[in-house]
Amino acid sequence: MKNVGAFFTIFWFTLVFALGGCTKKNLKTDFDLLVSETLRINLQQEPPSLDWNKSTDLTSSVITNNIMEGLVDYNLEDPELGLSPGLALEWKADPLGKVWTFKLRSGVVWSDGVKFEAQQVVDGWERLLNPATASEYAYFLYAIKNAKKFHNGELKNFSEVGVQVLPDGNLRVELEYSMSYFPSLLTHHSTFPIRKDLIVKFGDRWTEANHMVVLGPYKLKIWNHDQAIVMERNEFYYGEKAKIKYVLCYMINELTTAINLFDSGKLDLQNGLPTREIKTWRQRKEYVEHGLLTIFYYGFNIKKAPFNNLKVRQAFASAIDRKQITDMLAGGQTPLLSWVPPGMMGYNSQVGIKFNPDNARRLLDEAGFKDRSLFPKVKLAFNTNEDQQRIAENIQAQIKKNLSIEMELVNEEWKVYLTHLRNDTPSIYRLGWTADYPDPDNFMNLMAGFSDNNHTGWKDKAFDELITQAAGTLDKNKRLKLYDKAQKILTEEATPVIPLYSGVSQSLVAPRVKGLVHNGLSRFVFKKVRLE
Amino acid sequence: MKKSLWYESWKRFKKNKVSLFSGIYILVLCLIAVLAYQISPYSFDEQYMELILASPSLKHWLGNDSLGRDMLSRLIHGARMSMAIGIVTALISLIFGTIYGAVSGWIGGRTDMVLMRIIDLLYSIPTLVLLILVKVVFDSLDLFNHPELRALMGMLMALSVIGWVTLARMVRGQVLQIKQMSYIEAARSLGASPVRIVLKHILPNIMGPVIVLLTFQIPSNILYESFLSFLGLGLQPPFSSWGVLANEGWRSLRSYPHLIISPGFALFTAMLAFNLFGDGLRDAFDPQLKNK
Repeated sequence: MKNVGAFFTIFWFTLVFALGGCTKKNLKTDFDLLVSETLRINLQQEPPSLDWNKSTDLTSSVITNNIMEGLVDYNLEDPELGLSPGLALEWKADPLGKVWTFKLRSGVVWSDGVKFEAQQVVDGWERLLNPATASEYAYFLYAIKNAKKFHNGELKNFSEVGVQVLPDGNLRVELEYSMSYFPSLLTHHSTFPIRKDLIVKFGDRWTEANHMVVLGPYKLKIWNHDQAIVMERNEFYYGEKAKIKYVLCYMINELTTAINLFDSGKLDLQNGLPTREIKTWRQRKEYVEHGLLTIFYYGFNIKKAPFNNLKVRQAFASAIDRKQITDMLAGGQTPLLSWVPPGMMGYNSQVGIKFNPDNARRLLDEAGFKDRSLFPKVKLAFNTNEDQQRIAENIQAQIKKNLSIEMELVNEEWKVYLTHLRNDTPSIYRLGWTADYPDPDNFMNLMAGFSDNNHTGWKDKAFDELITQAAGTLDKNKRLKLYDKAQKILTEEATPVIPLYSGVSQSLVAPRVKGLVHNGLSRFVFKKVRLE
Repeated sequence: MKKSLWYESWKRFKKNKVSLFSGIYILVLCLIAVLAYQISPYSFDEQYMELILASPSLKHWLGNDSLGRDMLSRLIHGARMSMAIGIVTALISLIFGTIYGAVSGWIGGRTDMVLMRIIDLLYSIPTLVLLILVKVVFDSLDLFNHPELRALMGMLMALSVIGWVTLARMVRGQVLQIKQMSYIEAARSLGASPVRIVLKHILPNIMGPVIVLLTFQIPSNILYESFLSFLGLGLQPPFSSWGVLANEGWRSLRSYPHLIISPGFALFTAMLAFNLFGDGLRDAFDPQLKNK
């Protein structure tokens, strides 16, 4: 590993010097691209996979969201992230929200000239749900009739799943239950259409630059693994062609290196900044901050003492002043008491246990810990990360001050930490969640009894029923009321979790970049971006 | 009558002003470490939220860290951990390693073979793996209730396990060499007991290299401590050591250099002092070297 690290250090030094060698006269960047027609961004790391059925991370999605499009797209200029037509021109549901018809755009061709058809969408979904694909996002389509059975292997024949290409070339989807936000799911890269013929032909190598065939505003030109990706304007794209010819994506994980490149004008967009120095960044005119649909929370293991006691959990929730955390992070984060983050339908600032140290002490006394020395030894676990460490230390100090209880902090590397969460949940743990689609359901079903991401051990029938009912409710006001109720159960009445704050994206954007729209999903789409 | 070895050494050591000063500096550091709770101006874990990342000021001489805690107090408390780790592990490996090595070298034969294979066995395990293994096993025993003490004891165990091995091997080599010397032969023929020969004739003669090795070990132990803390196996917050402080400090080198300067300076001067002190000790114990 050490040698690999040394190799990369040398590599980046060479790169920096090579870039430094360019003068303004020739205006060329790496790969012999003209600076004036190239947007240079930093992905920070090699995308783990560009196979959009399988990839699960934000790095890969920067690429997939630019080279592909789903049946449905977002109107990124709309702060509420309303839906707009993508490969489907329009869609409608029956009054129950159980059967959906998608009218597909005609005359769309892939970047190799092949015509786009509904069958390719069905192929994509079949591959996503196929147990052999082992995609972590397969559950996205569980709402479709028989999809779950097909994924579990109970059904072998995909034709029994509720997806059907109509004789007129449109798509008919039959759902297991009513679902008001089904089209939102189709904006996600896991549900994009695929070219089965190419995947059969090239196997896993179909995502290489010379094999990959796409539908989006850009196509893959160069993919030098662990070094850079170059995307080129796709002239076959059905809509308005991309304004910038090339997008050059570096993979520089050392933030200092990336910022040095940015400062010397060799990088146009750097998303993600060293948070400790955020005060310095905030004063710069290139700095852009945007609220994300991301929540950060602490969860309890409610199966173990002392947090099997509801009053102890409530005491902890009211002993933490969230504002101290956001003040400390000082990057525009919002303190959060409820579960759904601001900027999303269902956010209600009135829900949640408010900071009240007196109340917290009283609750703890009532829970039978008037003598604090009786309180068992508690460990607070988090993944090794600078911000998380600061937050954990702050909460440790707040609990000590407000409740006179000492907690021990334990940090672990991310993968170890996740395994630990699944197998032996610590007394208190931290996690975050970023919306996959802008619908409160994405947050609410996180804590459902059936969710794999609910590590608290908390299961509540009433809560599960409420959110299932809400997901199938088409009327917005009725849905909101149901979510208010569910959030009250989650954050006040049962309190298996303590929401802390909602996140922000922090980037440096070069002044020559115009028209880049930041959004709560951290979704970067460059087709409308211009360079000056 | 011949004056004792220790008296002679002390006389020679006194003449070396640099080493003497280093020794005093180390003593002062130890004193600071012992009296940390009495002399630090603030509590090491009190968070002043309005002073996050504040620069040095009259009230907080070394500024405040990323959680608003007083850096000077944290540095003073950090000395506890760092000095304890550095010195205690060195002492443990000194005592254990010397005895082990001396026994192995002096008795020789089959005993030597067995003892050395045990060392080979320990050597064959990568340092890091061994370190982590001992630490994890020790932590799971849960012998101490206080988290700082538990981290300290675990670290001491882990570092001692890797420290004495090198020392024992070196002592054995030296003993084997000196065993052949004619003055040992002479002592033996005069009827001196093996224990007396080892204690009076062999050990004083190998003190030089042993002390040099130890002075190398002390700083590397301090670094190992920060390394383990970085992996999450060492000291856990809010407790501090110099390694932990330096580790936190370098991340904000660009905007808040005061966070790295003070622990860096403390680490640097302490290591320098240990090295110079060790040099002086070696010269003092090994007059031949000095006379050459």
